[in-house]
Formats: sequence, C-alpha cells, structure tokens
Amino acid sequence: MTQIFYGERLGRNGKIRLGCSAVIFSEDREKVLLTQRLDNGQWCLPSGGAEAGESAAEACEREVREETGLKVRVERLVGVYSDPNYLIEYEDGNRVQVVAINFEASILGGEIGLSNETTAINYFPLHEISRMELTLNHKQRILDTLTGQTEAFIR
Amino acid sequence: MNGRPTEVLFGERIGRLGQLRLGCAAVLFDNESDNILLTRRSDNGQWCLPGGTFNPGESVAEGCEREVFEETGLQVKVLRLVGVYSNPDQLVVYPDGNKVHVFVLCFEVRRIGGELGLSDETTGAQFFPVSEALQMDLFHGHAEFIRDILTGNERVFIR
Repeated sequence: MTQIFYGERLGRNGKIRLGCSAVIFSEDREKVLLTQRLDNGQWCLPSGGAEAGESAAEACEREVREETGLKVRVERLVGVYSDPNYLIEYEDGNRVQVVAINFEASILGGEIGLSNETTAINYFPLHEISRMELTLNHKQRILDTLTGQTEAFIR
Repeated sequence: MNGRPTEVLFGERIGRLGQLRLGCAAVLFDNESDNILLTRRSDNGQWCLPGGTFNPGESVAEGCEREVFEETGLQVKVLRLVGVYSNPDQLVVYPDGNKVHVFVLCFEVRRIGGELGLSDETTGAQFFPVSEALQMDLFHGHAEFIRDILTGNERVFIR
C-alpha cells in the first residue's frame, strides 16, 4: 500500500518526482471530479507522474484520460505544490517528494469509465468535498482553483 | 569541464531519450527593471538566467532562492511563477553524458540582500540591459523566459 508520511523536511529522504493533477468542474461548476485510488482507497484529483518526452500539459491530459476515460484540455495553471514535509513511500519501496503542477482542465470528450488505477470516479459537490479526506494536499488544490486567482499559487 | 560542453539537441519527442528532470530559472530585475541578472555557465560558457535543480526536502521557492544565492551571492525571494517550460522536442546532454528532458519552472524574484559574487558553477554574474540580454546567445530557452516575463502577462505560461 502506498503510504504518506508527514514530518519536518521528511521529503529529504526521497527523490523529487514531478507530478500533475487536474481540477475538472461539472458543467454548473458546483461539483469537482474525483477518483478513488486503488492503492490506498483515498479520494483524490485525477493525477499522476509526468514522463520524459511529454509536456506538462500533455502529462496532465494523459493522466486524466488514463484514469477517467475523459479527453480534457488544460485551461490554466493553478499552482505548484512542493511541500517538503511530505514523503510518499510506494509499494515497491520507492520514496518520493512530489512536486505537483495543478491545472484546471475542461472536458473535450470521452466517457467516464474506470481504469486499473481507480476503483471509483464521481463528481462531488464542493460542500461535500470540504468534509472529505482527500489525499495529500488535493483539497488545498481545489480551494486554490476556486479562488480564480490568475497568479499561480506557489506552495 | 571535461572537453564536451553541455549541448541541446532538437527533434520530435527527443525528450523521451532522457530522464525527466525538474529545474528552475530566476528572473531578477534591478530596481528600475532596466537590467536583468545573468550568470555565465562554467560548463559551456553561455550566459543564462541563474537557476538549477531542486533538492529533496526543500520547496520549489526555497530551491530557487538557494540556487540564486549559490550562483550569485544574492539573497532573493520568489515573487511569482512566470511559466512552466517543458518542450518535449529538446534534449539536454551534459558533459558527463547524462541526457535529460528538463522541465523548468521560471520564477520572478526580488532581491532582499547579499552581494553579487562568483561561485564554482559560474564564471560571470552581472546585470545586463534587458535589450542587450535578448540579443546575446543565451543558453537555450532562456530568451523565451525573458520575453514571456516582459509581456507583463499575469497568467502563467504553459509551454
């Protein structure tokens, strides 16, 4: 099971890994799309690691497609999240400090469907999300997106 | 420097031949915003914006501030993110043979202290008039960072 540890500067025990996440609103902008992770059962934004040979936007769009079946387009960069107090340990023993770029994305097409990385996908109303426990700092990423601030959050 | 300078190769999706590496670049203007701080790389002699890679255990802002201090002696604070630059059609090849697809976070920073000086990694560090900097043969991509910041666009560039 993927484990997340939190403590002062724990990130120094890992390698830096670049990730991305997407905030996708429902048409009325009252709900946000979340996926439930296979590895630890937590709800989170569609997200994943970037790979060499793709741009940051392409990485985000690919991860959303793989996890949800939806074809999306990145609309804007909301923020960069690099809290050095988090350390993530994967099942294979790899330890990482994640630096994640969070985007707001809009849906171009596709159908919502499960993947082998996700056990559930759903739109959740914002008031419900505020009471849920999302993985890492994903709730912060949603709150930052809701501000509509043009300048990026640097966290 | 062991003979071969750092090179940048171009080609469709050539980035996939390397490892992904996250780095940063810092734009520091002087008080009147007429001049911009550049450093000269010891690996290939080209001028560039100060910057480097992040260490585990630091935030991206801390990493950028540390790199500027190490390379120039100036203490700075990150003001804002100018853009993320992640062109997959380029590959950086270092003198040791390492190949990387670099993702760069470009920040605008402001000076809070310190004195301009050289480090092991730089053979030059000085302010240049912005117009002159844009005409120099800067390390690949850095002229784009400067042009983007000069647009005054608050929106973050996604490239």
